[in-house]
Amino acid sequence: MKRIKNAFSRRDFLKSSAFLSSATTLMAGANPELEAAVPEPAAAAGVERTTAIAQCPYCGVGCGTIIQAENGKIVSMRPDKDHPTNYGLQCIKGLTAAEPMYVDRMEGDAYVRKDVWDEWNKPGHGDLEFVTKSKGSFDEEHFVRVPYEKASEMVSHKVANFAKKYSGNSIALYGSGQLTVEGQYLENKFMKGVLGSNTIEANARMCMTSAVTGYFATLGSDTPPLAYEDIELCDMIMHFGHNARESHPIIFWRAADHKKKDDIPTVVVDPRRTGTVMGYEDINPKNTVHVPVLNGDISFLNAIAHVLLKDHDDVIDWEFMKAHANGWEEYVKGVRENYSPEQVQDRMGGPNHDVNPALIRRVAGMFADATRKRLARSKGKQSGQGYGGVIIMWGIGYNQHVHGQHNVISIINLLTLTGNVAKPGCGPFSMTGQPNAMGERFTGGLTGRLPFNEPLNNDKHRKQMAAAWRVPEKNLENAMNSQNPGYAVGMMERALKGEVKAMFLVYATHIDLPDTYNLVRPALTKTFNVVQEIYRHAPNNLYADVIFPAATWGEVNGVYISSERRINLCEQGGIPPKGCRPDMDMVIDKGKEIANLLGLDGEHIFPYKKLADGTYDAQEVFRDLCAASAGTDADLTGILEVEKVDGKSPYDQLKDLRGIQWPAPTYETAKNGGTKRRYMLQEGDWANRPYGYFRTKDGKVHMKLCQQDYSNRKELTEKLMRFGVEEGLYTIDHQDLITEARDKGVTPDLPDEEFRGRKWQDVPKDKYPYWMGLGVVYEHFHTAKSNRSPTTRRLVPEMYVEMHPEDAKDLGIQDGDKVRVITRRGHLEARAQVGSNSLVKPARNNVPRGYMFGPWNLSVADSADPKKNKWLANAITSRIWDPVSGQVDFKKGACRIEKI
Amino acid sequence: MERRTFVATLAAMAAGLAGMPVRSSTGETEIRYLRPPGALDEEDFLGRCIHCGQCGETCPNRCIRYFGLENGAASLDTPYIVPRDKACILCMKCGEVCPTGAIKPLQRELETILDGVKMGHAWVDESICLSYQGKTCGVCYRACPLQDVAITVGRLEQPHVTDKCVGCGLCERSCIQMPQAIRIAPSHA
Amino acid sequence: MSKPNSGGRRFLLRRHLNKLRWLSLAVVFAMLVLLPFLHVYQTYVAAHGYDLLSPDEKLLYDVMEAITSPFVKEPAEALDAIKGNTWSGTIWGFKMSDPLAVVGQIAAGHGVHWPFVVTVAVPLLATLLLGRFFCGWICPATFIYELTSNFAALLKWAGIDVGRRRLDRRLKYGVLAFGLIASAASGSILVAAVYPPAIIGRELYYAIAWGGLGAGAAFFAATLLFDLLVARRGFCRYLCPGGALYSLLGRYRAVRLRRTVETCNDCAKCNGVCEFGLDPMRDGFGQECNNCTACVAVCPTDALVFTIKVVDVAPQGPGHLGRRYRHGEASAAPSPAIEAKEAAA
Repeated sequence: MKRIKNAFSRRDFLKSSAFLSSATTLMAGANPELEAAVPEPAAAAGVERTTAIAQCPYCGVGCGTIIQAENGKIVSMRPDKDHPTNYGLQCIKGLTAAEPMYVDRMEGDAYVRKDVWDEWNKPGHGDLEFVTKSKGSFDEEHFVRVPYEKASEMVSHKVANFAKKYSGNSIALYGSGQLTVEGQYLENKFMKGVLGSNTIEANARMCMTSAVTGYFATLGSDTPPLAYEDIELCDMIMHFGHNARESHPIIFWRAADHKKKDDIPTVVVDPRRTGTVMGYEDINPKNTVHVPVLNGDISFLNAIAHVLLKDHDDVIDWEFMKAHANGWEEYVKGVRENYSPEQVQDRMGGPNHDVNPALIRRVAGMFADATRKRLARSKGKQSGQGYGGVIIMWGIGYNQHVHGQHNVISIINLLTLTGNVAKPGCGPFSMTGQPNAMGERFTGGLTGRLPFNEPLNNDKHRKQMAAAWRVPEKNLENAMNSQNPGYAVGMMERALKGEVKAMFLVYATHIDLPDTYNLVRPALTKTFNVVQEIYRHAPNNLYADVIFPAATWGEVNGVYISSERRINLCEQGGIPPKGCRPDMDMVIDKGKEIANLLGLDGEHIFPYKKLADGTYDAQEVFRDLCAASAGTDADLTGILEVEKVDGKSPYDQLKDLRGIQWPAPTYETAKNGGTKRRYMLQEGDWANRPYGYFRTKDGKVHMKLCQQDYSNRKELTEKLMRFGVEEGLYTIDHQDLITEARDKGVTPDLPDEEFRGRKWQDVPKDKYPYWMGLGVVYEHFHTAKSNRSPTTRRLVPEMYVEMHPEDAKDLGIQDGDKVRVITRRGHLEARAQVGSNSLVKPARNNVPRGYMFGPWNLSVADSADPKKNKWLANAITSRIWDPVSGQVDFKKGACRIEKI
Repeated sequence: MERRTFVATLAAMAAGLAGMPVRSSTGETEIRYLRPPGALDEEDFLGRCIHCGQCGETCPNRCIRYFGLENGAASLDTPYIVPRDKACILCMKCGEVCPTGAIKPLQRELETILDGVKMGHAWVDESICLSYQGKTCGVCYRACPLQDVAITVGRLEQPHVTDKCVGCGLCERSCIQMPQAIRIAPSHA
Repeated sequence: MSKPNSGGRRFLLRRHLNKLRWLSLAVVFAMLVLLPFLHVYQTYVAAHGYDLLSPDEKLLYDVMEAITSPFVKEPAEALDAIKGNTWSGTIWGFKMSDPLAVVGQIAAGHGVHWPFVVTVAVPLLATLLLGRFFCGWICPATFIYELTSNFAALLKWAGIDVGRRRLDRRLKYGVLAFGLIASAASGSILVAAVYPPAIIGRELYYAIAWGGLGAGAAFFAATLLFDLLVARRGFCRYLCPGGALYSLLGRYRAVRLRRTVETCNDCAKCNGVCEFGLDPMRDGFGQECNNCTACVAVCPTDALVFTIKVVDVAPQGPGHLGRRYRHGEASAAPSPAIEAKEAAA
């Protein structure tokens, strides 16, 4: 008698049964083991199978994927072999993207806090500013279920009331790089055009804005100039703060394949010896270099420039700089005088970080040789028709610094110095984290920005957008004049101060913001929060006053933009659960209602029509967007031209071409898939271009010498470490300090290194001897989805912290011990993973001495509930932000370790 | 009455037991199973295991389950693991708690595990494995607790199982292909 | 504890041992039910996914957490302290096993594995001292069988007849022998499949942790029917191989019952209540007595006491307060009342 029942019994809380049993129907063939393992038989008759093309919902590479659905439910992914980004490759995150679709989903009516709903139902709607008192819990007992229209009505009235009483800038929105471009566009229209608020931020702020502002400062526009094809054309790749193999696997393998074929040298700049380094070393250890710089990247880059100027004068592109750059004289002078490899040694990192002058010179030599290869192809002339040279890629590890913008500017400085820019096969290539973070940047859904890469204070463009959005110009002026200092961090600090009254959180979790328990959660407790979420137990729901169940990627139509500016179509693959609406639709509904309440004409501003299934037509919004982009840096009107002439709808164009790289200002460019490369010295010759070869006011690349100076580091950092510790101390009130921190290129924390070498019990409780960094792992993307996906969750099930074996020995910590990582601001619990033979999974990367690393994406894996959650990684991070980019440094905290 | 009943009952029991299939050398069940980590060789294991159930009760991963009669009477109530359903995470608690040493008490330490655990050996079906079919997967490599010792990856994360594999089955459990492209060949078969 | 009765009924501990026994049986059974729940709870804790549990699973988690959190901070590790069942278990690292497990394993494994054999030390010592006390005080099957006996008494009161046959006690030694031979022949401890406490320990675990039951449950159900329909405590008396082994080991126990013949009045209530069908009224305890102290509790004159002797007292004849003794051999034949009572035992 068989005792053990169905293998995927109800005891298997990972709920993999639904996924696996339906997925079996797609794999033909009788396999006795398969039948034994999953007894549910495949239903052949009556099953409707459909496919839809989309861009993968995970990282910013933007692989083409095909969604497979049965009877309206998404069951699996297949890579799209016709997509030029991945050619049918896909990593496990993408391959398992169907798994978390239906785990823990909300459906049906909206959730409203009981006390809020009671207050609203009082005569005269009671106190319109009422905020729920039951924050911090998302248990059923605190909510009532309210039909969407009624909940939406209440939200609109309350928000309109706040806007009227306290100005539109008292309303904030925290948006997402995973929302479709159409949704992001309308969010920005709503916040700036309807409410006149400048307080709109997105999770892109924590990810990419250093690259954004770096591009703006140098090239004049947030435009990664290259395409992925340039990988196969280059002669050398450098990765700064980029564990490509784990974060952008497909790009890594393309680079690795190129290395294998053409034996190009690769340099990885990262404190840890990561899988990326080891993958390259497997191919050729002789031309793979690992440079373990800790925060001193600006100095490192300047030092390379110094060596090139001194010893490799033949690769310096004086002509280019004279013709197309300004600020280069100061730059050259500065690096010559102050940034020799010997002079920068104090900034290369702590003990055992072997970035000695010889290594710097070696890397400079490799850089020069790669540049020479390009010169050889262009017959010895920098301005010849050649291709190749050096591509510098960077990721979030590089952007997330208090001097992040300067980091990016330093890269572009070096590339411009050597002419490794404005040609195919070389240049700066920022890797976006989220699938559509570029959409957030493109649609200007950030403080001070408008769509199409223009700021609010560009008068001409502001007027153009007001007309395109059909909103009063006055609203945009109000937005321009409203202050949101500190960007995302500042938004939260203003909420703490009582200046932000209400917040929309759309498709973005609050736990990616730093200093959760001192900054973010106290702030969210004060504001009236309207949340659009898909998961019932999402952390945002703990602090929501109203929760609207939303439809997610794969259930809506829209477009995403990948790292190489490719606009990819994401078709609807499955039908969302009952009651889940697309985020875009909910923005339209609220936008209309609030516009009407504020005396505007909602229908005029949002004239979109609904389709037969009750949702709004995203393509109509896309057309609207394309039309509005006329004449801008991101002109997409060519797509509309193609529609007019050839009768092909924009989405069909995107589908057939497998994406169009923006801009596409003419019929020809749109027909040919957009603009493959930007700023290749071709744009100055374009008709109707109001700017020169680059998008700056003078048409030149703006080089700027970025400094790094550790001479008064200790005093400066001591001041920085007070934020998050002392009550009532706000960074937005100390912007001079923030600016000084950026100018000196320091870290937000400084560890008490003299207390290293002691057993953990012997470290005083007010000392923090080690560095602690947070980052990503291959198996997880952000926090919510991959933790609900059985495959990826099984691979990395537990929070861990990587430790160097010598450090662990000093501390008296064994592999597998449970430890507490404590910083000034908070703590988290994790398993100690000591060395690369650890039995705590995964055991892949090697941290240097004095440095510890943990993933941040397991932050809610045990529970979003603060009572149960011990893995919330951002409890420990510092909120100090880059004055221009707004990014914070998640990788240089100072911590103490305690054994539990 | 007493002596007759005595003999009669004995005879009945003998007949009953004779009817039950006793373990054959290859096992009766069609399910491919593994024994817990550190288990003795199959014959010794069956002679030592007292069917107390403590190994399953201590397993934090809930991968250990117990046979009924489907694998023969000798395997009745003995522990087994089906890696595709739930694989062993090599926490080694079962060996600690086993009173008879049917599962040897082994320290949770790399060398000890490599020497003492012989659950089986993984092998990759390259015709199904995604990484050999132009995707980049590497899930099995990442699932392996003895990464770079029992399994390595090459280009496009293609897995290569070394001879050090102990057969815990985490790779088979994690394989995202259907049916799984990597599976454990049990050591007892 | 061995004071003869004099005057009013003052408190005597031995009269209340039966209640203590019920408590002991209940506690053991409750532990066998609780431990699998705790194990399931431990696995939920180890899996770090409270929010993804179903409502039933959350209920289990919350209840177990409420029960254990005053005592235990790290449930994933600390709750490993107590594992197993009466067949073999661990209490704070100290392992104990049923003697039948040891003997069975030696038979099945064709050899002695000393680290396992030493785990029988405490149970063995206790059995050598106290005899078949396991069957009376600890065995989880006893708990069920006792409840069944009470149920049978209820049925009898309602007029439904229950099984009252008497079979040969030596049968179980045959079962023991056969079980050991079968284990040796097959190389696997088959005797564990027919030993109710091992079955119950396993089946409770299977039922709670895996939601299913197996062959053992069917077997145990059959023994329950046997109890109810054929013979009171039939399996324990006539078929249990473990009981057989305990009886053998407890043959020369140090602590045993003795009838104080001076205060006995031959009422035969002790025989009526003895669950193993022994003959306390005629000093017939023997190796089968499991110290259930039912007879001690029921004796109206508190004539039954515990004593330290390695053999039973030789038959002492009729109780001095009884009719036979007082009225001589004329009343040699036992009274119909006594006969009836004995027949009912």
